Amino acid sequence: MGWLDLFGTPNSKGNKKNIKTVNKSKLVNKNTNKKSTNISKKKEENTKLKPEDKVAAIKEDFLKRQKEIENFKKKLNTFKAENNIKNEDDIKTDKNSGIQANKNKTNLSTNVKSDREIILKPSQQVIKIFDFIKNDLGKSLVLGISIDRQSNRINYSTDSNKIPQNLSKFEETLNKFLFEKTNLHLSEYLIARLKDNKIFYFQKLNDIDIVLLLDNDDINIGYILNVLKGKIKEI
Amino acid sequence: MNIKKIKQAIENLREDLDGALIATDVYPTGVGTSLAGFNSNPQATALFDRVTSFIIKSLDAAGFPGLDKYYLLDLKGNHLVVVIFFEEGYQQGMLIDTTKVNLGILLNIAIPNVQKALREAFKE
Repeated sequence: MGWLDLFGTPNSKGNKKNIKTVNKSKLVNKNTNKKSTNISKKKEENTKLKPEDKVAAIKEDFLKRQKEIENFKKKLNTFKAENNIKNEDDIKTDKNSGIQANKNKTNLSTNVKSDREIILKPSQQVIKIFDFIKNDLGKSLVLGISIDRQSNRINYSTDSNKIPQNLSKFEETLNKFLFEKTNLHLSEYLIARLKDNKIFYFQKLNDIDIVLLLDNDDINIGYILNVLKGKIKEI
Repeated sequence: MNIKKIKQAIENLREDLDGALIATDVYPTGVGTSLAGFNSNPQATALFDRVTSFIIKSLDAAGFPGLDKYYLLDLKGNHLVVVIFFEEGYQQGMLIDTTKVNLGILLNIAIPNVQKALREAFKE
């Protein structure tokens, strides 16, 4: 498996289709609103509903829920298009939060916003760290990512087209290996010399992990471990 | 493979690291049992063979270049694990006391010396 391309082009046809569906459902709903008023009037007249009225009430309820689903689909598509989400796991999470929102009758857009914050929005600390790293390493930095350890999700990448999702559980798996067999624990870092004169650098911080792919032509391991590591920790 | 040369390489490594080498094992990749060592630890040998395999797979899945030469793993309690990776199909795992040696001696003297000596030993 190579780079996971999470930033594909959103499907514009799909969005158009959804807009049409929503407009159609709005038209249907206008009619049902009239029916709804009629039904409530009838309720006032007769406390006991006739079978025809029951059918109408069920139909009204059905159309109302259908409209809610269409609205949800529209919002989900907008969210996916805004964030260029293709990853199936992310979509599942969003769907789940949407279902939860319907159950709780809360505003869906609030839930989508909080999801976006968890998945994609890096903290101020992460932004500051990468501002420093990019400035300090310049061309030596091939790729840098940040992993939120609480959610095991990548929340920042210096290249939006390259997000190696498999690395989001790197620290967890590594520590599992170490602890299971030897009771050892990873302290601060792992550094590896790679082919093509590259360096893989993993640094563990309080709430996040930093992974850097570096070019060894311009930077050496001594600088990373004696200078860079300490500066990143200070931020 | 010349086992005498492997043992000699380990002795030279102990001298280079001047008391900082806590334990080391030379083992074939994917097998995880020691060919020669100092303060050998069979569990650690098996574990670090597995850790190397995990790192190789993670790098590959991420689309990064493959593992080459060595990796360093910083552990709690001033311990450092160094695993030297040989394309001939062997690895050497070392447990180092970081309070007794500086990084410069480890990276610029001890690792290159033992790499060169072991490569020669594997060829024979």
